[in-house]
Amino acid sequence: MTAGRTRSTRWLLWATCIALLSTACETSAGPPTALPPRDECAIAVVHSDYRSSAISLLTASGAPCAPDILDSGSRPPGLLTALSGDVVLAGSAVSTRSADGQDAPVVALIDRYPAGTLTLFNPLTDAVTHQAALSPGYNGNPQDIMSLDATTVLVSRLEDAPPGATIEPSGSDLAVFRLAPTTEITASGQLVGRMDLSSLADAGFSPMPARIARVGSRIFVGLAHLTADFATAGPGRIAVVDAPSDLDTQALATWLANARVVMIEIPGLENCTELAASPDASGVWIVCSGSFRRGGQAQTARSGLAFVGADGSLEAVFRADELTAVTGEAAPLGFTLAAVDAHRAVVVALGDLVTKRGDRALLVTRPTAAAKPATVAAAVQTLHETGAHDLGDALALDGEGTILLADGNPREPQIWKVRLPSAGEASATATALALSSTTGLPPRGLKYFRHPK
Amino acid sequence: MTQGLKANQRSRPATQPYAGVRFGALRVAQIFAIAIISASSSRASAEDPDGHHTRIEGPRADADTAVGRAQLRRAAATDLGQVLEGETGLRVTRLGGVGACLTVSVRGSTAEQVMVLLDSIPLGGADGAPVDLGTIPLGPLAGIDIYRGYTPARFGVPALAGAINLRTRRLTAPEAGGEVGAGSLSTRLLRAYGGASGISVHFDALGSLGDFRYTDDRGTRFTTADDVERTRVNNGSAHYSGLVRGSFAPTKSLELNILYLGSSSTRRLPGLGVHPTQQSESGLTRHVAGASVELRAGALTGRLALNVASTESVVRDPLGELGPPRAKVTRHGLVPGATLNLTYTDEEATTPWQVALHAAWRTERMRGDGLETAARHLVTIGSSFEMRLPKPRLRLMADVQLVIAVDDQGPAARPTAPGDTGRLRVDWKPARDQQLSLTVTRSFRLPSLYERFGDTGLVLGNAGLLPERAHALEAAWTSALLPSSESSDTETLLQLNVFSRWHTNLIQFLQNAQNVARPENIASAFFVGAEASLTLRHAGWLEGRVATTYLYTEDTSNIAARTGKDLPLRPRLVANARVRVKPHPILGVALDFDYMGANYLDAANLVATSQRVLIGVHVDAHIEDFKVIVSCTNILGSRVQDLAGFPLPGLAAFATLRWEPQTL
Repeated sequence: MTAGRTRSTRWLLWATCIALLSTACETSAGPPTALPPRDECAIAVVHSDYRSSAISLLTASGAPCAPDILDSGSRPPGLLTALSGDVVLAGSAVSTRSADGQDAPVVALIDRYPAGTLTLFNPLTDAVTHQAALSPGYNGNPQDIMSLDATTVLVSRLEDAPPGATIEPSGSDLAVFRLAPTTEITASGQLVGRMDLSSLADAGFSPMPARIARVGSRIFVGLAHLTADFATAGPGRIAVVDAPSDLDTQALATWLANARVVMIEIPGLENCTELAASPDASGVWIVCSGSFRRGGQAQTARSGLAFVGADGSLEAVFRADELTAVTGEAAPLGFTLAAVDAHRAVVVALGDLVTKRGDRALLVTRPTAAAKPATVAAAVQTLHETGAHDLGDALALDGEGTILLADGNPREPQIWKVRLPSAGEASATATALALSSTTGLPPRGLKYFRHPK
Repeated sequence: MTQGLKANQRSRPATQPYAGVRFGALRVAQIFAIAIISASSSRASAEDPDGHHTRIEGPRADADTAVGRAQLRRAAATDLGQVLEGETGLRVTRLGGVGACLTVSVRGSTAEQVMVLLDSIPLGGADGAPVDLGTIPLGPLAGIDIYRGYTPARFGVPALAGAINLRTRRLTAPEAGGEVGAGSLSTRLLRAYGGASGISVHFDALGSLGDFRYTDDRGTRFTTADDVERTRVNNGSAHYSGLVRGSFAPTKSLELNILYLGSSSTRRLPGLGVHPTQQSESGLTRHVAGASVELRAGALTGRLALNVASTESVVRDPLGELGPPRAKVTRHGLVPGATLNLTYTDEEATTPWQVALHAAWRTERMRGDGLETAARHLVTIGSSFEMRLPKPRLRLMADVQLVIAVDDQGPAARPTAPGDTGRLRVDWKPARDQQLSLTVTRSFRLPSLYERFGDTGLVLGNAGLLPERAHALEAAWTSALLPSSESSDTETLLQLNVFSRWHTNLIQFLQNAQNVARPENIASAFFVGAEASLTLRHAGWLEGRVATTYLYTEDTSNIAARTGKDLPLRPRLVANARVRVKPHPILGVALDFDYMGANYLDAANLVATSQRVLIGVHVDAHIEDFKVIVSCTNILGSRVQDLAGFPLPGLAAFATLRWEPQTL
């Protein structure tokens, strides 16, 4: 071997070693310490960058309780990942019955697109207890579930099965699934039947049922009411159906076939998907975002907030351009909605990526003696501002006069605890909570999975 | 709501290794004896290397790797991916089996950052989408030049991570041939060519039903109770292409070349494995035409090339199985261009040198259903210089280019910032059969028209995007382990590369809470890699090549979920080997081994794929003008996919009968 070859060999080995050693310089974040017992966990958080997701738990006051209990990598990937990037939490608490007959609260995760699955996680046993495909064979894009009892859930499926598809008719419906009592994941849910909501849509539109809320004996369902290409929005609507009085199979079949479905129009607004029951069960708040395809002023003019009483009467409608102009530039309302009480709700005025206008979380207070159903003036206060389209869910904490706000700013993800201003106060006080996830994924969803006693 | 999510999904691909490589009549001693930069790719393609060449020898002296026609023809390769995926630093990604969409990345890049050219004509469409190599016919190709980390200025179009230049065949003597093949999944292949007197015609057809079996887990990864075995349906494809090439040299100093490629690809779109489709499909029609004239006058060579590339892509989704129902969505791209290269070479000087000037113009125009028409003009000015010093035996090379982009988009659009690229490389030959190289490069990628103006409602263009930037440092060592000599019947070649790359201003589509995606210059990344390959040929009956690529990537973006983590879809270790023995003059047996290490599917590094091993066996028999090749790929039946949602086929077999008469 020549001298030149020897020198060049050494040089190359050095370079290779340097390259390999550089891979050792990785960092890792340690898990939070001194966590409370699992039975103190009450709130589930979805962290997501829309590609992958992680789930953590908070206590009823918003403190970290269980970090990263489940994520997209909790199982090796198959055709899809364990959780996709489009996971939302059930709008209301869900319980399931275990094999020994005990009912237990579970974290209910709806993996909307592309998976279309329901995943139930028991936070006490750290185990997934159920997982079911909610629209097998096509993408039903399920939006929400609601417990009818510990073994039966109601699912809103937004998208229709393709015409001519070799599967059962499905989509644009409320579907009922039975969950087998089990302590192991061996069986999926069983579809019991469906309530077709297609009749609630105008010709050329689909009802596109979304969020579900129960007030007393009535079930309220938000409807996007869009054309199949999502380009055009029809008049704003929600559906109201009486809850089933009996859940045995025969009674459910009768209910699915004969239940009276009432449609409530939200005048002047469009795309009314999100709703939240008032804690005092006096009605539901509804947020309508308008048509995103239309955008700009046209979207803002058809966006707004409404309140419907428990009896189905439309009590108030507020246009977004009037609400949001009180504290800044007029903007459409996003999907964020938290019902503080029958007179106060938290919504988000959407930012704009092009003009760099940020998101604003707004507290809307409706007059106590509003004329029904006319549009009435409302008091509006800004609670928090951040980057455009960063704000996720808001959650009103039970009896605290505070909300939690998911701020999905990718650089500085945060959960804010905002004390709502009381009468006469000009501004709210926001405190950043300790992050409950070590993944760095920004928080998007916040929901109670059990309400503290 | 997920109203926009379906439409926002951008396909990303997968790997399925196959063919190995070998080097041909390599003589490292020729390093400095071969002409340096070739200003005319068409001229050089007449001298097709037979096998696998490194960049230290000709005739493609400026390419890092030159894959010859012999390698293209050795195995029963049906598409380009099977040829490229054995190369170090490259990763081919697929959305399915034969005929499916496939793209290539270089040293951890994205597919959009790689320039793909056909005889130096850029194939990239006006919208900036990566070139789908599955639509490029393999039959007419004479060779492939691979540029890792840099695109030479003579092409006139910058690329961030490198280039793949596909060279077409030039037939001088009367020649004709053909090939028919068939295999698993109803795959069928037909190739024919013929030509004389500088004119050649090629025809390629490839089709497959793609109806392999796979396990549908229904998206419920926590239970297997509902898993079912399915046949991949609506997954067929058909590709047809015709290529005409003319090459004329009326005088010794004048050469004319013309080229036309027309291709039509139809693919059914099977969708995600959990949601099979029935009727959705896509189509791509491509026309590429070019003409060049090359004039040599003493030491001066001038080449003027004109070209135009047009694409029309169509997506039909009448049932709304992949997104909002669309009977037909069409997008058109038109890219005319011109390139002028002037080269002065002084081979007689004590210190031979060469200088070249390059100028190029290119217009990109994009229009389509639901899109505003967008267009821009690109003007590129570049220069390259090379000098060889006898003592010490050094070769110095410099290459620079400046690109100016002017929008033809109305008053709302902002002008694109000019960009520049540069490369400085020093080769040193410390001993016989050895070479050391050090290269520093700076490159960029202009934001595409789609990224800047692609407003579709669910995607928002961002006219203010800045170009992506890359800086790189590379060292290479090439050595013939065994000293070459005329009497030796064993040839070896070891090539090692170590590189670092820094990418900034990377453009990524950010999806927001309302499911609208908008590209932003938000990402940056750091890469360190090492590539090694060892090639061996002995006595005409044994040849083999082992290649491995180690790639460490780190996301340096200021995004909490990403910073410090591996870039997704970049396995740290990839290795492949191919050994071919010829136990009998008419019989050959080859074994392929491909390994891909675990990698992440997501930027947050939560979802890791398993490592994958693919093994293939090929047997060929050569009887006079006929050759039969039988290939079995993925004989272990690995089902590890590269992308969540898109299953890959298992064991597949393919047989081909080739007729290639030596003379007509």
